[in-house]
Formats: sequence, structure tokens, C-alpha cells
Amino acid sequence: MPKIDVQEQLFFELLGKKMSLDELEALLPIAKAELDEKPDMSQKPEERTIKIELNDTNRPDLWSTAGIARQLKTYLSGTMTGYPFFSAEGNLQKARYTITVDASVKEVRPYLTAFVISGKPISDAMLRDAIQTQEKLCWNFGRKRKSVSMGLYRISLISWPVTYHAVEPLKASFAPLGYEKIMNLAEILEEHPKGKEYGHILKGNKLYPLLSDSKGRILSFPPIINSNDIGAVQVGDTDLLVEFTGTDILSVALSASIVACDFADVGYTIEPVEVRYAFDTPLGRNQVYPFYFQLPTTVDIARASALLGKSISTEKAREALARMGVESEIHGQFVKAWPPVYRNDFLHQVDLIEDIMIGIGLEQFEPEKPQDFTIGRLTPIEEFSRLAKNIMVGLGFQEMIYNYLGSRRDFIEKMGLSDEGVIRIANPMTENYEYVRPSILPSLLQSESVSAKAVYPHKIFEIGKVAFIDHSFNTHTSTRQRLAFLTAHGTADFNEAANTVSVLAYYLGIPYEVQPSDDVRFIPGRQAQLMLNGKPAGIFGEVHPQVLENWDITMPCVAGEFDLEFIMQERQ
Amino acid sequence: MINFATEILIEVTEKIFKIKEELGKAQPENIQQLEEFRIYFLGKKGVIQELFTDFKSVEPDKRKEVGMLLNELKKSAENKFEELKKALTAETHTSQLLDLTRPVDLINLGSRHPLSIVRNEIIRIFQRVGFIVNEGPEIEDDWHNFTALNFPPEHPARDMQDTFFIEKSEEKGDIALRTHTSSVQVRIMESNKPPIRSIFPGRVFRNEAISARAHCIFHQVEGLYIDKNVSFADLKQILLYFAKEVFGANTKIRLRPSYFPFTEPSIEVHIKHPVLGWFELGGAGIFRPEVTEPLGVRVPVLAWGIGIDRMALMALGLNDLRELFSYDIENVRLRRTMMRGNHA
Repeated sequence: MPKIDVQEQLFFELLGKKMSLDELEALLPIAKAELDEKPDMSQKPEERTIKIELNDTNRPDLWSTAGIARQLKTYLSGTMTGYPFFSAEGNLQKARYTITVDASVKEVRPYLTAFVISGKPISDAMLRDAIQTQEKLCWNFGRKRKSVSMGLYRISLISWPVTYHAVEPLKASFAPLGYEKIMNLAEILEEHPKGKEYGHILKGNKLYPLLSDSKGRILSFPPIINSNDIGAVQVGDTDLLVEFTGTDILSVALSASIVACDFADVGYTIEPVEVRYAFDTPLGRNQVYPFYFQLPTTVDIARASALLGKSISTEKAREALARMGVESEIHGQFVKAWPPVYRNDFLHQVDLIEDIMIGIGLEQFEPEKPQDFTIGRLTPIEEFSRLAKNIMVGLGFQEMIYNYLGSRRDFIEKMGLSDEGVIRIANPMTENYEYVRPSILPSLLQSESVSAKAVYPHKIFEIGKVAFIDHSFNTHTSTRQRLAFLTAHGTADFNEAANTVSVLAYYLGIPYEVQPSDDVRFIPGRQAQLMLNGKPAGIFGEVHPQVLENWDITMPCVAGEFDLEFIMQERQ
Repeated sequence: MINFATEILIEVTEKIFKIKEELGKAQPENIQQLEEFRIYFLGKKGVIQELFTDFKSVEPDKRKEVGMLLNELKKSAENKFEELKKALTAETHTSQLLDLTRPVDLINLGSRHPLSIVRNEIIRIFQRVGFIVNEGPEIEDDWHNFTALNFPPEHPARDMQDTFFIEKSEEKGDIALRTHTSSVQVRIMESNKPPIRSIFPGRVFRNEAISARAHCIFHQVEGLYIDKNVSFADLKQILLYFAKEVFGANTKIRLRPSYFPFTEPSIEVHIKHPVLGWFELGGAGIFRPEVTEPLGVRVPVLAWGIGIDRMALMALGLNDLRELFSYDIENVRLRRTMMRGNHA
């Protein structure tokens, strides 16, 4: 979920009205946004920022000061802003600038879109916002620059046309942003911080993408870094080229549309750029960007009424959509809607139904009592586990609930077991949470090890899950519901454990037998296997002194662990 | 003719009867009088001991008969003394010596874990209005945890930084510790026919740093309500019913637009806690047809997920999530859960 810094002064200018932060907070939900942090009032008004968190990963148009202001303004006024500089199918703008895309990039990073901003020098607020857009858009929507990256350049230094092509890493050199030193592309990936951060995107390619002008000067090495001259945009620069490259043309085109609208809202002139591909793209070979590629979606208002549980007229639906910035036409019980140029999140009519819902206001929908009848029920294992819990509690045991993730040291080494069949996390954050527990006993022993000060006797149990590697399941694992208990006090012995087991078995209604066992976690000769119908259901006995020592426990402990699912099955 | 031996016999017998009568009448009322009673009847120089001295003069052939009487007398004196002693000392304890404010001994009782209590209470609330409880695996395949729920292959939630994947000996697609109980929703829809009203309480895992406000493990109760004519209004009703059952009849809820890849519309549910104010209870929405139709479900599917850890903390008056998984026995067994309904 992206969090953005909204330039306070710019934001209220764009919104066209001043409101309190409380009013803003109440309005933000319509953009699926939340006020994350209020501005620092000790700062100058033009430096203050409001932190806002955006929840919809399909609405990158909201991730900038202008974007969020645009949505709120449209919602309040019900009128939409027009963006006449967009090209559309059959209606292309005349472009002053051209970028050619060479066939060599097709296998590396095939798509490019661009436009030019002019009309006034770039302000500090707008530059900061553009850099933020670059980060948020390319990180969240552009999958960390993999599918979309963005660059800004000073037009005054460019000789047109610009070419997007791919070259061998050692065949091109330039000074990357922030560096005076000229490096080749391979050196940039090794030495420049951005090269180290994003170099993996190009891994495995023989050729690397490059953007250069007609005189061969390099603008940038997408998606890694701009050049230190043409690509070093500063406050006060006028006429900038904004370019996007990536692997998914719709994302690359939408990103250009969003950023163009942001600059247009702030009063810049947007000049189209013609992009000439040497190969076919889903949006054509030669195209003028920003380009409106989205298709209309039709929503059945009878369906919308049924799904929302409220009778909605087509006119009301149209008005609600207008508040969300969506233009539409009524056709009988249907409404045909065109996504705004900066949005591409209408995949199905339910997406429009949601916008209708938000446009009308969630508080307008009255709750409805259910008409039908169903019978509530627990799962058999839930019922059986509750029965077992009640017996254990009756025996004076305290129920515990533990983390299922733990360390190799706790789950394996301290128990004297091998790691065979134990599930290891492939990407643990720390070694403290590296394994999924194969048994509840380590958790109980850990409790005892930290509770020496608690009044004795200690009687604790947990009913919970354990899991193992098991390739016969498609999840490669099997998970079982188990019951384990531990009793600790000065004279805890096998007989006490046997008594606990006997009472538990009596009230669970299971006739059982015991048979000698040789589990390393328990003292030899003072441990037994619980047998149901001749099959093992678990183990109990006196915990081995070596195990106790591993856990730094000085009090004698008896413990047991049983497979509750197996017991339930055998009982039936 | 009465000889000396006969006189002794009569005298001893008479004395026995006289003392027996005295014994019957004696009624000491306190410890001092009881001591006087003991000295008089049972003391070394007491009347019964005196009789034993006289007894030596009784003729051997009469000794058996007299001896029996004498022993009987001594026995009844001793019994009466013991009874009186018991009665009088007990009376003294209750009426005089007990300190009512003495520190009491700790009695350890077995009890349910607070999370277990909160979980059961939430289950009970839904069970009462016809929801069945289901379960699903905590270790899930990619299909149920992500793909079927419309998470595209490169969605941030699939990132290694957010999800625990398990290490396998053979490569057969990603297996992860489920990141939400929504995976169970897919399983329920795969294997049941509407109408379905179901909840699934369960544990979920996120690869997050552990702090007071975030944990790598948490508990959710996910719900499904699938039927021909259900709508957003029904969803609102269920969430409102739940909120009122947990926090009282005057509880208010607030719905906010939200985003999940598998529901549209999507909402966030906020509840106004009587003391703590607004807090986020969980997410909800109506499943996307693109998700439900491949599972054979062609009617609206209402769904929600409620986080229960924060509710458990509230019920305990705590605010650190790590406390929920405390290993400290004393800490856990001394907790009380203030929850309506309670220990179900």
C-alpha cells in the first residue's frame, strides 16, 4: 500500500477550496485513502506535507498530490476535467517530437511512451512530486521498475529525434546521475547504487537498453539511471521530456497518461510525442502519446441494484459515476461508461458497480435482515478439541497458545531429534522463526524454562497444530491437531502422567493400552506409548534430564503428546 | 451376714453408680470448667482413679463384674471429655481467633487461554445465526492462497518479503504458510453448493518483523455467505449484527471503500468501541465473478475477514500483540478475559 507525501499548499490550490484536516480525513475514504500523518505545522506552508496512505493498488492515478486532489475535486463538484491533448484511435494529435524504437529492444524491454511538458519552469513542489511519482508509480505499479520505469530530461540539451535501442554493455559509456566519472553500462551495474539496486532486472540479457539522441548523446540507461547532464533535471528548468519504458505496454501507456494529467492539472502544457516502433505493439506501430487506449464497459443497473441491495435509477447511477470521474451514457437499463484517461481498472461491470456504490455513499445502504434459514454447527474436530480442553481444564491444567514458528535450536536441537521431515521456511526473516513446529512439546518446555518463578505445581497444555513434510499431499505437508501437556513440580513422576492420561482417556471415551517406548525425549523405562486399537496415538512419560538441561529446567517434568485427530477417528 | 468383703463390694458399686450420675450431670461450659471436669473425674487423684484403688480390695471372684462397670465408667468419662473438648475448642476458634483479612493461598485453577475464549465467542455469535464452522490447511498451495483469489503472478503480496514459503525437496510450485484465511473460502466454494453460510477461524502468517503492533502470526475469522439474492445490504447487516453482539447494542459501524484483488466492491469495517473509539475490525466485500465463476458459483458471494488478536487484547486490557503468545505460565494463568458471553 503506497504512502505518499502530499504537498499541502499545492493540494489545496488544486482542490480549489481550503478545508480542515478533519474534513479532509472524512473525505479521503472515497479515494480509498487514509490520513496517515498530519503536516508539521512548524514548517513553512509551502514546505508542509500531508502523509496519505492509498489502499487501491489498481489506482496509481491517486499516488500524487495532483491525482488525489483531482479525485476529491471531481467527487465534490460532480464535474470532470478534460484533457484535450490526448490522442485516441482515429484522432491522433500532431506531434512536434519523435522517438524511434529500434528492434534491438524487443527482447529486453520493448515498450516506450513519452510526452513533453512546457509552458513554465518546473517548481520545487512539482519536481518533488514528480520524483515521488517516479518512485511510487515505478515501485508499486511498475513492480520495482521491472514493468514500468520513468525518466525526465532537459529538452534544451536534446537533439531530435531520440532513439531507444539496445547495445552491448561495454559499447556505451556515460556519466550516470550524481557521478562525474564516465562508466560503461556494465560498470554502472556494478558501481552505481541504482545499478546495484535494479541491475537484476536486466540479468541474462546480452544487450542493455539505451536512450540516446540524434547526436549520440545518452539520455539514460533504462530502467537503471539517467545521465548526469541531459537527465539531471533541476528546479527552474523549462521544457522537459518525460519518458516511460517497460515490459507491459498498457502499464507504460497508463503511466504516461497519469503523469501528463498531473502536470496538466498544475498548469503545464502537454505536448504529444510520436513513438515509432520497428515492430508491432498491442497499441500499434506508430502511436502518439499520451494515448487514450481504454475501452468502455457497460453495467446493467438492475444487476447493480440487486448486488448492492438498493433500488438505483440509471440517472442516479450516471450521477454517481460522474462524481467518481467516469463519463457515461444511459441505454435502457444499461449504463455505458468510459474510464477516465488516467484509469484502467474497469475489468468487469462489478468495478463500475463499486464506483456507483462509492459515488452514492456507503451510508446510503440500509442493512437487511436475512430471510433464509440455516443451522449453525461446529466441525467434529472442533467439538472434540473443546471436549478435550474442558477435561484438561477440569484436571487443573492451564491452556496455552504458542507460536508455530521457531528456531532449529528449540524445535530440533534441544529435543535431541533429527530434522528429518521438519518443515523449514525457505525465506525466514530470522533464525528464531525458521521452522514450523513438528511437536508441541518444545513450546511447553520453553514455557517451563521461563516460568521457574511461577508458583508450583505447573500444569499446562495446548491443543494445536503441528506439521511435517509429506509429499503425498499436494501441499507437500501434512498438518495434524494434537494435544500435549506438561506437569512440573518436585515429585512429578510417570504415575502422575499416567493418571492424567487415564482420566483424559476415560472422559474422551477411549479404551487404550500402553506399551514400552524408546523416545529419546523421555527417560528410558519411564515412558509409554498410548495405543488405540493396536495403533500408536502418542507418547507420555518423564522428560529426559538431558532435555531438561538443554532447556535450563531444574524441576522434574512429565509430559505427553497425542494426535487428537487420530484419537477422534479411532473413537468412532 | 455381711462380711467385710461384701461391704467393700457394695461400697464400690454404690460409688460407681454415684459417680456415673455425677458424670451425667456435669456440664462444663468453658475450657476452665472442662479442666476442672478432667481433674475431678480423670485426674491422677480423681474419683475414678480412687475407685481403682478400692477395686484392689474386691474379692477376686467379683472382680470381673466390677471391673467391667469400672472400665465402662472410665470410658464414658473419657469420651465425654473428648466430645466437650472438641465442642468447646471449635467454638473458641470460630468466635474468637480467626483473622478475616489474612493473605489467602493462591489456588491454581486450570483455565482457557484468552485467545481461545475470544475465538469461541466469535464462533458462537455466528453459529447462533446459522453459520457452520469450517477449517482449511495452514500450509497452502499457490492456487488457493493467491492465484484463485486473483493475485496476479507479480502482485506485491506474493513477494518473498511478505510471505513465508516452505522449503521443499522437489520443485512443484510454491507452497506457503497461508497469508489469509481467504484461501479457505476458495476451498469451501470448490466443494459446497449454495446456500452457504460458513465461518473459518484460523491462523495466518506474514513475513513481518515482530513488534507490539505487528506479529508474524495472527488469527482471523473469515466468513462466507452465498445465496441467490444476497447483497451488499446483507453484508452490512451481518457486520452490524456481529459488532453489536461483541460490543453491545449501541455499537456503531462505519464502512469505508477498500481494495482486495478478489472482491469488488471491497470495504473496510470500522467499529466504534465504547472506550477506545473507532478501530478497524477487518475487510469485507463481494467476490469478483472472475473468481467465483471458475469455481462453479454463479450467485453473489459475500465475504469478510475479521482479525481477532486485537479484540483479544482489548478484552484483556492489553496493547502488545506479543503478549498473546506469552510463554510465562504465571502471566497466562492470572489473566481474566472481559468478554460478553464468556467461556463458551
